[in-house]
Amino acid sequence: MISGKKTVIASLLVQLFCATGVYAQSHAAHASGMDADRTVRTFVLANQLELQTNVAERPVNFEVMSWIGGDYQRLYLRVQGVQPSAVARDGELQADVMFGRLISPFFSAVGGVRVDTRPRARYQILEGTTAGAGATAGSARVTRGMLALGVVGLAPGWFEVEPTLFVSQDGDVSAEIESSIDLLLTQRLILQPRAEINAAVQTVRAFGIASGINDVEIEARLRYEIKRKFAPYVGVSWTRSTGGTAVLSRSRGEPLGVGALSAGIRVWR
Amino acid sequence: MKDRKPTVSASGVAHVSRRRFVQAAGAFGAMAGLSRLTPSYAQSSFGSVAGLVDVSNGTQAQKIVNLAIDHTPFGFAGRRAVATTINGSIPGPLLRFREGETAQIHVINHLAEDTSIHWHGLLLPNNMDGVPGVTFPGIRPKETFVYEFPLRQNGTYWYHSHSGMQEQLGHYGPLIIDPAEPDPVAYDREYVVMLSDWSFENAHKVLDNLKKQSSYYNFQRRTLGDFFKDVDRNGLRATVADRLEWARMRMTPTDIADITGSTYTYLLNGLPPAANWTGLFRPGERVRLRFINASAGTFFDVRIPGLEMTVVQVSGQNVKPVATDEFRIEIAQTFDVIVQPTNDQAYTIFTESMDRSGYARGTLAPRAGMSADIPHRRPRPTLTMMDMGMSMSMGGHGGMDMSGGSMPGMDMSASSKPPTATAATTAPMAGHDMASMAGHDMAAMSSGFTGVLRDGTIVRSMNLRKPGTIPEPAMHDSDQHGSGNASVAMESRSRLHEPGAGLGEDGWRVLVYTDLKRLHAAADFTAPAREFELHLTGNMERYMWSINGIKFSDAPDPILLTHGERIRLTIVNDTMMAHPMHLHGMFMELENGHGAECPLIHTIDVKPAERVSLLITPMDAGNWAFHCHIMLHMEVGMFRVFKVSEPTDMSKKNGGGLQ
Repeated sequence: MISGKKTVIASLLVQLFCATGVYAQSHAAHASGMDADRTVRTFVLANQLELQTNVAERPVNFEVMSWIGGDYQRLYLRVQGVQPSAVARDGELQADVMFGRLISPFFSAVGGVRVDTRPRARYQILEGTTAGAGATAGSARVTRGMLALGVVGLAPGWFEVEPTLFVSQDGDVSAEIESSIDLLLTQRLILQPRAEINAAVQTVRAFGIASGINDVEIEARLRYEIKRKFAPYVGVSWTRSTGGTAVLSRSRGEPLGVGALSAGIRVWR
Repeated sequence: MKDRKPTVSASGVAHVSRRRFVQAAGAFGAMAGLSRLTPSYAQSSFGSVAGLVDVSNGTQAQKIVNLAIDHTPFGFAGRRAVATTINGSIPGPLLRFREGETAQIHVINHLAEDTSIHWHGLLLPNNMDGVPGVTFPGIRPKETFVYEFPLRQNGTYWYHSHSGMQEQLGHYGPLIIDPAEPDPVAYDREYVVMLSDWSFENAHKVLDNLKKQSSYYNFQRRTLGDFFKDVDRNGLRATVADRLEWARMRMTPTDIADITGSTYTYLLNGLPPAANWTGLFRPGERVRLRFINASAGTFFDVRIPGLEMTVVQVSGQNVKPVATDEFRIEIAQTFDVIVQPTNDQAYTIFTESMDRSGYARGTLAPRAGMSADIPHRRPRPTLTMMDMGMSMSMGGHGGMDMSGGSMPGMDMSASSKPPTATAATTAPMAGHDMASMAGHDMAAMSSGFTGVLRDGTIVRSMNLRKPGTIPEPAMHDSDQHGSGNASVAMESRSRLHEPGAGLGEDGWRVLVYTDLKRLHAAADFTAPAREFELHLTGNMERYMWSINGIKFSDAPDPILLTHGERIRLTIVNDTMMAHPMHLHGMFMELENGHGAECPLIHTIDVKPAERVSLLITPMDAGNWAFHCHIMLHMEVGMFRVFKVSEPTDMSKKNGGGLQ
């Protein structure tokens, strides 16, 4: 699914994260007496693990969040991505490793790094004139490292929010804000609407990103908690490119808006 | 309590046989084919009169008891687990002593981990209190620890592990100390009714689940259906306003209990409801029921439909008899009641969990095998804006305008004081270190401010109100207790006259704290010299519980108290949950408005947004634990230590009013 040197870095980061967890847990087992309230825990939530169906393809979509830590300080790992099909290996992926500290009852400040990797955006219309250069433009994928800074928490109204600001290795600045809420239809049937907005300051053509708001994603998933930790769901989502990014999309011959149905499971431990 | 010296009883007759206590020859536990761990005293039978199965032996003056802590298979309804037991039963054996005796209790640990026994409510030397890390190192595997202490009091008490999660796993038992002098309570028959909660889930896993989703066990949250029901009842506008207010606070009004009947089975004398523990009586007899709540996480509402209950003792201390139909027993509390069934019929002892997600049940009957109707469980209660600590005296204090939705006490945006700021300080405390005055200016103006300890406890020594009186409502100061605390009670006030969430609207009497007066007024009821104010705090979102916003491991320095000093302990609950706060090593005189008749208690249920005050006169030197008795709240840091100084010539002269 992932290729390139930076992918190796991403995978190393993941392994480091997991190793920290194993150490922390074995360490926690010895906590007792006065230190009993300092137990280090590991949380892993696959909030989305789903097959989608849209007009063109059947992509696999995933979003996994995890943390290791205590009450005030936690190391966060977030991985989100999509690949065109269950067997394809040319999808896109963002992996974040961030340190977070509780700064108010409901919010942690987080800071760390992100690795962003995806297929290189090919512009048929614009690049057709420089076909020779396009052919030597290197690998089929592009990858960049970014510094990340943001907050994770619960806004008034029970909205989970995690606005994050990124600065890439090339100095490009972008931002991502997403928010979701759990609405209880019954004790176990829960509707989770979710919205995500991506924005960028600079245009980064290889990533298909233009200055301004890039895209808006609106989704809703209806899950049934058979167990608290195991809930199958069905969902709908709609994504639309906007502004300059929409122009870039169009120039690649891609649709501006994509609607999809999804089915998946939400699991955590 | 009367002034009693820890001398050895001279009489020492075979006092056990004097009472017609419940005996061996166990019929019912075995009959139901369920728990085989029911101890003999909890099984019911007429049988022989003299036969209390006593685990103790020894001379008249010194009772020797042997207790073995071990893993024992336990289960019911086809499920099996491994419990942590005392002498192989749940609850552990009944320990029965006489006031004036010296108890010698040998505890052997057959577990692979440390254990301990704490004697809940007993006045004893500090090193006998049984709190690992505070009063002794704990009992290592294969080790025997000998507890030895004189019995300086009488009444109904209990004992339990103070190590890890063992209390959840069955490590508890009843303890009765018969009075040296004639018992002021007359009764023909008596039963221990020990309530507890049991989960087949690993207790550490339960805590882990709550840490990751605090509503994990709550299947009574408000849903879309409740929304429409509320719209029908209260109108759209009011319902939406209510939902928005709770959503803005990020609190749930259905958060009554952390752990519920979704994983708990509630036990009565170690038996699940289906096993129907039965206590026999002959019509017309006065039956004394010694209720003990040994739960790790459950408050119970207790009633016996058809029978009036007369409360005669609370926390092991006699009170003026009060007739009632129902009472709430907080975790770790004991209530002794007298019932006098005159009809030849069965009565259900119905003990509903506070959140109504389940119940424990037993039966009082003239003959074995009888049962009475089991009442329907009532709807689950919800918290109100009063539980949030909204000001009830708007305008009275001036400047507290809530109409615009801006509530100074509820601002959660920023923490003025990071909790770890206090963690690093390990320097020994020389007297009381007044760390900071910032953020307490309001308190300073209103009531003779003295200072704030490093752990956030407020100390005052001026203008203290009359002892035994109910505290006045008070506005919260500007200290929000840091990021480990989600909100504060803008206005806290006494709620001793309230029965608590979900009680009091059924058309029958419910006991409240203001009903309680001790049997004999205190001879020496002096005014406090100092007041210590502690705030109960928490952040449900991360399942954090603390005192003054600081969990125990971040505030390891004890709070220093002087031997014989008269102290007012004021507890303010800034959280949305009730907390049963327990102080080791001394009784607390609950200031419920009855002056020298204020009842003596070892555990106090502090309701949400409540301000409660208690008087203490510490007499036994050493480190005494003060903590929430919801086991997991204690485990994650709602815990403090009070260090009582060694007696001096001066303090010996001053003290002595109580013990």
